[in-house]
Amino acid sequence: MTPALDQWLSRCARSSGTFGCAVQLPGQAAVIRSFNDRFPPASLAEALGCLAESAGVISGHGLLPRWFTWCFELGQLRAVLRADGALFLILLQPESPAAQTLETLTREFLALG
Amino acid sequence: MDDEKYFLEIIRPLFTDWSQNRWRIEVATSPDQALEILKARPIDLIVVDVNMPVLDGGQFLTLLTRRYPALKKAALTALATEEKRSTCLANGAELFIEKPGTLEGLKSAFAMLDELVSWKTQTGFQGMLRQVGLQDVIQMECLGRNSSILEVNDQTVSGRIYIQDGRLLHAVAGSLTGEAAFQKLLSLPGGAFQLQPFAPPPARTLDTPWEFLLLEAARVHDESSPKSPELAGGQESPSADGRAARLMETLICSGQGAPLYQWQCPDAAGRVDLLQAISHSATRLGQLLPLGNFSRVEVQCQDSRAVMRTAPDRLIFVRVAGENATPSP
Repeated sequence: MTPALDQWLSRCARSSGTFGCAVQLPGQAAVIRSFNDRFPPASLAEALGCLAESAGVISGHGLLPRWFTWCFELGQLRAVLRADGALFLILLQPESPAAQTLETLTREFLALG
Repeated sequence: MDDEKYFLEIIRPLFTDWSQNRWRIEVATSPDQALEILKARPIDLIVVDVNMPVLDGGQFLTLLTRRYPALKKAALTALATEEKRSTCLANGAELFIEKPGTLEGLKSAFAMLDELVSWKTQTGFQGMLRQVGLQDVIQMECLGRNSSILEVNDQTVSGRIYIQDGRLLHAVAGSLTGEAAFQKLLSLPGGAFQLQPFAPPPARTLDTPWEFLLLEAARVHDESSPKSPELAGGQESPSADGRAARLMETLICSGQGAPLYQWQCPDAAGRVDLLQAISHSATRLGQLLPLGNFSRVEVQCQDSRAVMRTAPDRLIFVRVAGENATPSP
């Protein structure tokens, strides 16, 4: 994890409504940040693994995702995949200020590579 | 509606004034005229004179109740009897009023009618609708290959969605038409609707399959903050009209994966596998995190966007290409 990426990850919590985020770099342990007790790091880590599997399944069906968003009643999970294999996950509250920053964060993560 | 034109000429300015211009009053001297007005625009309340030639008020109330079940109705008569009262109330009138002969009487009648309108405004014709309710109605009409006009309104906008044989033909909401109007109506946080008999629309402004339009409406709704000026200010959503989406493929299946509808879907079996995998992953994520019910997953690819929705009774896959499909670098 580079200092720049670590700093960027910390900034993800600036907007209210961010429950947590995580980054998985190829060959490295995942870095998890939880900003809400309902979403502890262990659960976010498992969710990250689940989304990484999903990305493989989706790719296997001919859709090569740059990012994908799981929309639930009480939360949105966005996973962003970079060409170098890095995966970013952010979990946030729908219709919150954080939701307004989703596209910006996605672009920033893709640009960080 | 009253065949006594002078009576209408008296009450129209009075009621408009007493309502402080909250009321917009249309008058008709015959059932034909009244039906034309009802067909032309959403009406909150109709006041019907009971003693009418040809088609008396009681019969007209029956017709109105059958054709406009959600419309509020009041009956008015100069000669009130218990029999007329019972007939009118049985035929769908919410109020039975004796035609006033004095200014005080008119004020009293106005107060009762205003109360009826106010009650309706607060609670809706048949209860306030949530957005998902309106989507359900459209889905029901389209899946049933029905033809109808869905009139939608709240306190800020009125609109219509024309459905013919299960296809969306035309939408209008205020000055908007087409997809922008459709998305506007589905973005309303509450309101009321009436299903009207189908009549040809003045134009055809929709040619995108209803499945995609509904999914797009759900996406726009989820991505729109309550602070969004587009919604708060009653303006159209930029996502609704700014997206140059082109449909690439569509698949709708039963909950068990049996295809019900497909369009340009060369590998339906593969898509069903994918939808079932998505459903499995959604269940897994729901077990890991307290997120509530799953709605859908959106997948952004280099040149297209796919939306997958899974529910116990329906699996939906829609893929579109569009200039906004890829985030700007």
